[in-house]
Amino acid sequence: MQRKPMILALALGAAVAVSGVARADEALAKKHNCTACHQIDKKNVGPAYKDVAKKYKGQADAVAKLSDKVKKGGSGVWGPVPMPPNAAVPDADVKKLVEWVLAM
Amino acid sequence: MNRSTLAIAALAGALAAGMAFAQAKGDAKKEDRQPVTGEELRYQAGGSPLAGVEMHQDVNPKAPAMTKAEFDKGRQIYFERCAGCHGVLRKGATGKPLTPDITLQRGTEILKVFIKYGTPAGMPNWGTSGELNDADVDLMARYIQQTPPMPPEFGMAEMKATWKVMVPPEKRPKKKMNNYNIDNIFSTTLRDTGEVALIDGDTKKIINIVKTGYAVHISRVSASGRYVYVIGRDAKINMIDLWMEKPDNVAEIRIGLEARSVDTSKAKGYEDKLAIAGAYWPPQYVIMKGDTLEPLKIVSTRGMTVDTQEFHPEPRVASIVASHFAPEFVVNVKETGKILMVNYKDVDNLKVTEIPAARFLHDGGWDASKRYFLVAANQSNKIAVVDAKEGRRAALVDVDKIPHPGRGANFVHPKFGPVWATGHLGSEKIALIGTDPKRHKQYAWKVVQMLDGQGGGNLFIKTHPKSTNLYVDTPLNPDSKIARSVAVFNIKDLSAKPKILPIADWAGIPEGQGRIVQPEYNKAGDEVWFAVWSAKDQTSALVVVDDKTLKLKTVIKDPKLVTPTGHFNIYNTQHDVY
Repeated sequence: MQRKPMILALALGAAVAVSGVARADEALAKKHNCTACHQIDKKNVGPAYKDVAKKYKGQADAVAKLSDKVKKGGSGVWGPVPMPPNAAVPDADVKKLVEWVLAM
Repeated sequence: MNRSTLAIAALAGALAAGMAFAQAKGDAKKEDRQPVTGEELRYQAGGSPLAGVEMHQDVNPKAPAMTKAEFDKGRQIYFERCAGCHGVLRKGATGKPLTPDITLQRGTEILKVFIKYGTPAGMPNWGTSGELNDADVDLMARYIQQTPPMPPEFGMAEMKATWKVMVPPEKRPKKKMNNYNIDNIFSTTLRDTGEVALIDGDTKKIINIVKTGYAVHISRVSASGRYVYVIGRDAKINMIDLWMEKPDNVAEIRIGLEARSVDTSKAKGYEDKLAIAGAYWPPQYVIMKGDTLEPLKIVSTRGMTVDTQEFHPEPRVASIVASHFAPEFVVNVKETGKILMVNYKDVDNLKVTEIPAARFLHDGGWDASKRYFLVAANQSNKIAVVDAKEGRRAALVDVDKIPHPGRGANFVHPKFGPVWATGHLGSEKIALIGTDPKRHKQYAWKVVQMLDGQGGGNLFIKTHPKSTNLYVDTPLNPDSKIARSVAVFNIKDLSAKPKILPIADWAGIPEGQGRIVQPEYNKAGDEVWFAVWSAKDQTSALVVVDDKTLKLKTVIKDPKLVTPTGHFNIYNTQHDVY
């Protein structure tokens, strides 16, 4: 009986934390111009994030591989339009963004 | 206990992620613009005369460095290829805004991708299409991060400096000095040579080729039918006197750096008294004396937009018509989405009624009674209806994608009574709108029928009170076969498929060349004229079709007929017969 409020509090805390992270990464993607070319579930100039997540699902080195692509740019995987290099984005933010994309 | 906490936490997490997702979706939706079609691009992305205008370079310290030569080249490319959609000051219209607050944030590398490869939303692939090389793409990516240069203003002093009266009114003929049936002359734009050909509609012979501004957009006729006013894209107006032995220019003026519209006073007591012209740049209109083009009053159109009520620095004057009853000009302002009813009774103390419509107003025409004016708001996919008698908006009608009526077409529908029709740049549809609130109230200002034409890229649609045919051109359609032919509907049986007239084939124009522009009736309403508009170094023609039989009547070809586009019958233009 006494325990219930605690469970609820815990649950709420987790919810706030998770939603906080999700929102931050969406904002982060905006901040670093990702959304100029990418949408979550629709192909735009670049591939949809959901398609990226699907393609790299289960690959152990996906985070490292994609982080490198974000920093240095790349082309050929999704068609002729290249991804421009994003050298100015801090490493920590790149990792956060890649993990966010892969979790979709 | 542990488990249930976890489960709830996971659920909450999923919910939160869902929320974030939903939010992202909402944002994406907000940013979604109507994709730009190829037809519209061909329409909007034509060169602006501003390409050649020297402008001040305001170096933005945050933007990538550019030399003066690079900046000038970027400016030239911008005005030749980009300004039509993104605007002179890059505030956006058909294309997205490209002001430095946005472009600096994107940075050179991302901008280069957009310029080179284009976007699914309709930005052309300037690089991969071969129109810009990599060096140009890089230059343009840096150029659009600079502060947009402001083209010079064009006020009374500048207008007066360009104003010429070649034949003053007192030296002009007192009566018609020629034997032409001037009611049936066609004033024909020769787009790329900066001329207008006056063609005798009876004999089909060229009367004179008159020097004008570049790419004359329209010809308008004074209330008396004596004077023709034409305006070039470079904002030069020429006034032609049809009473002269050989009709020719009697006055000219430039009213800005880029323009599209001109008209003249038509109300009783004001016949031939005043002229008006509207500019793209600077955003303004000017009222002039009707007999000399002497500029009297310039009015800026800069101001607030109709919907969000924020300031817009370049609301272009899209089109102007003159009321036949009231001493009023109807001035349609594109970017603010406002219709201005300018009462010219007292030009000094000018009274302007501002009527709210919708954004990116374009062109339009009168209904058959000439009480109502219908104008396209083409990025909003709407037609605004103005009651010119009451001076207020009568309706806002949803139509299809990017309506482009020209002046529209009026006829009596067998079921719905009087209707006004418009075609679309963005689709094959032809929308018929009921225009008789008195006797067909239930159909008034509603789309009563949609017809299927050949395809998108329509510019003009036309019929005549004496005809039962409705002609629909498609010059901007990417399919050459469609661009080279015209669809004809039978007004008495609109459910039947249209007949297709292969006008370019009839004119003997080689396959792949030529686009058919603007059906235009002669005065009698028994023949229809079309321009076969080919490239400057190719053969063009005017083709005359018998309206009864829909058979070829005459092909007019002449080495002097270079890039003919609009061709305006004097009588029908004078009286707004369409």
